[in-house]
Amino acid sequence: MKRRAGLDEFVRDARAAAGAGRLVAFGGSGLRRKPMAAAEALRRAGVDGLHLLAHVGGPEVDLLVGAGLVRRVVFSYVGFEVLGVAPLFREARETGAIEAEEWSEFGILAGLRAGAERVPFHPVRGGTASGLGVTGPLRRVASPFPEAETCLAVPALRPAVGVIHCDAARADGAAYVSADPHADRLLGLACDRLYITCERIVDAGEEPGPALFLPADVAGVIEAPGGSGFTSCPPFRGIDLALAAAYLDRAEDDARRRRASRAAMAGGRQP
Amino acid sequence: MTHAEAASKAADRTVQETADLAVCAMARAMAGDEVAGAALPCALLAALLARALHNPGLVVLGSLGLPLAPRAWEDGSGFRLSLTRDESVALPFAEARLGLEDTFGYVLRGRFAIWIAPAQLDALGSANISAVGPWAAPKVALVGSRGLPDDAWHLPEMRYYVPRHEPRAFPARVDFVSAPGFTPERVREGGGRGLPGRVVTSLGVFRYGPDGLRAESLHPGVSPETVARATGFPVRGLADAPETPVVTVEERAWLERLDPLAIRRLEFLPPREGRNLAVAIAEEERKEERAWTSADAARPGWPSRGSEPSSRR
Repeated sequence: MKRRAGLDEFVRDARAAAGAGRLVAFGGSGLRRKPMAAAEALRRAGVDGLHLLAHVGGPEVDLLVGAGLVRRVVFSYVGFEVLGVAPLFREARETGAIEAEEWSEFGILAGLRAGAERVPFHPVRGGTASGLGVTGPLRRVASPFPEAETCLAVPALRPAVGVIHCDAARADGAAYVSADPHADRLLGLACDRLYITCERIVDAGEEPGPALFLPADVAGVIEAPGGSGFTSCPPFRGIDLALAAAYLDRAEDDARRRRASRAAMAGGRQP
Repeated sequence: MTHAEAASKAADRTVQETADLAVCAMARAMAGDEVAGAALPCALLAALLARALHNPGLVVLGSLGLPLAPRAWEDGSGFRLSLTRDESVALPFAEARLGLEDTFGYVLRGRFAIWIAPAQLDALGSANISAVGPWAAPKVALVGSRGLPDDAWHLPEMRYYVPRHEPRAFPARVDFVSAPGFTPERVREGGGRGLPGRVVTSLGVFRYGPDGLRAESLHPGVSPETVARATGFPVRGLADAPETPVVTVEERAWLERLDPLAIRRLEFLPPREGRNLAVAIAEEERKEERAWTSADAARPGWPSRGSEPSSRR
C-alpha cells in the first residue's frame, strides 16, 4: 500500500486537531531532527488554535508560538540547547499569550505510554514534592492491590496527529532513523495519525538499516529534503548553529521591541 | 601568597582554565557511577574524562542514547566533543542504539548519573530551571523542568554545576521547585532518592546536606568572602576549605584530546558571548567536516557522512 502524502494532508489533519482541541505532536529533541518543514507548513497555512505537544521542544514550538498560532503547549522543555531559551515561547509565557502545561520529561513519556497502550493514566513517582505537583497534571492514585501504595499518575497523552522527521522512508511507510531515536517511536505510536517527513524516499532493498516504524504505524510519508531546517539530521546534516543564532538574534530583537512598546503603553495609561 | 596575590590569581584565570578546573572536579566525583548521560557539553565532557581516568567501566551515553564503546578511549581513535555533529560523531562508537525510554529506565532504576546546570539553587538544595518569578506569570520564563522532577526522586544523588557562581544563581529560595532538595514537603512524601549532593561552580566545590551547603574546596585564589558575597544564603565550612586540586598533566592532556576546540568554555560565558563562541566553533567544525567524512567512509556498515540526500521522484 502506498502511503506517499503531501504536507497539505498533514496541515489538513492538524487543522482538524486544532478545531477539536486535540494535540499535535512534534518528534525530535531540542535542536535535533525537528520537523521544521512541517512546522513551516502550518505557519504558512495559518493553522491557528494549535494545542502542541513538545516533549523536548525547540525551534518548531518557537516558530509556531511566535506566529501567534498556538493556544496551548504541553512541554517538559522548550529551548535551544546550549544556545539557551526559546525567545518567542519565553515571551508568550511571560505575557500569558499561551496556556502552558509543564510536565516532567519522564511524565510525558509515561503519558505517551498510556496513550499508546490505550489506558487512561500511567503511575509515576518522579515529580513528587516538586512544583509540578501544584502546576502540573500529577494526581495521587492508590494501588488497588494488597500491597497498597500511593503514588502519582499522569493522564494518557494521545495526540490526534504527530509528525517525525526521519533520514529515509519507503513509500509504503517504513521509516528509518540512523542516529538517536529520542522518544520518537513511543510518540509515534501514541498518535492517532503519524506523518513521517523524510530526507529521501528509498526503494525496497535500499533501506539504510532496521526500521523505526513499520508501514502499519504510519498514516503518510512526505518527502521533504532538508526538512529538519537548521536542526540536525544525521548523517546528512549537523546543527547549523549560525542559522540558529541568526534566528535567535532576530526573534530576541522583535521580542525586545514589543516589550518596550508594551511598557510604553502601560506607562501612558498611568494617571 | 598574600591575599592580593591570591585574588589576582583568581581574576587572571581565563574562562577556559575555570572550565578545566570545574570539569575535572566533576569527573573526579564520578568514580562510582554506572551509567552517565548529559544534556550539555560540560556534563558530557566530565563523563568522558571520568571514563578515561577514574572509572573505566562507566557507560557513557554519548548523544543521549548511544553508549560509547571503550575503544573510543583505548585506541585513541579520535572520539571527541562536537557542538554540531555529536550524534554523527558518536554513531560509529555506539555499542548499542538506545532511545530516551532506555535512558529513563536507568534513571527510574536509580543507576544513572548526570551533572545538571540549573538556573537557581537554594539553601535547601532545591533547583529551578523553569521560571523566575511566579510560574503562572513568570518574570523570566526559562526552558522548563525537563527531567529534573524525575531525577530528584530516582537518582542516587543530584549533582549540579553552576558555571557562573553569582547571587542570582543562589537565591535563599528558588522561585519554582523543579527538583526538591531537603524540603519539608519531600520529608512528608517519604523522601525518595535524588537528594542534592555535590555542586561544582566557577568558585569552588560544595556539597549539600540536611544542614545546608558546605564548601569542600575553593578554586585557587578564591577567598571565602568572594563565595559568601556571591551566594544568597550562608555557606558552611568556608573558612577552612582547602584549595581545589589543580588540573593534572594527565587531565589536561585528556581535556585537549576529548575537547580540542574547547567547547567547554561556552557554558562559562555570559549568554551573548557564549552564542558568538558557539557560532565560531561551529565554523571550525565545518572546516573539519571533510576530514570526518573521509574517516567515516573508511568504516564499513555506516552511512557516509556529509553527503546530500538524493531526491527520488
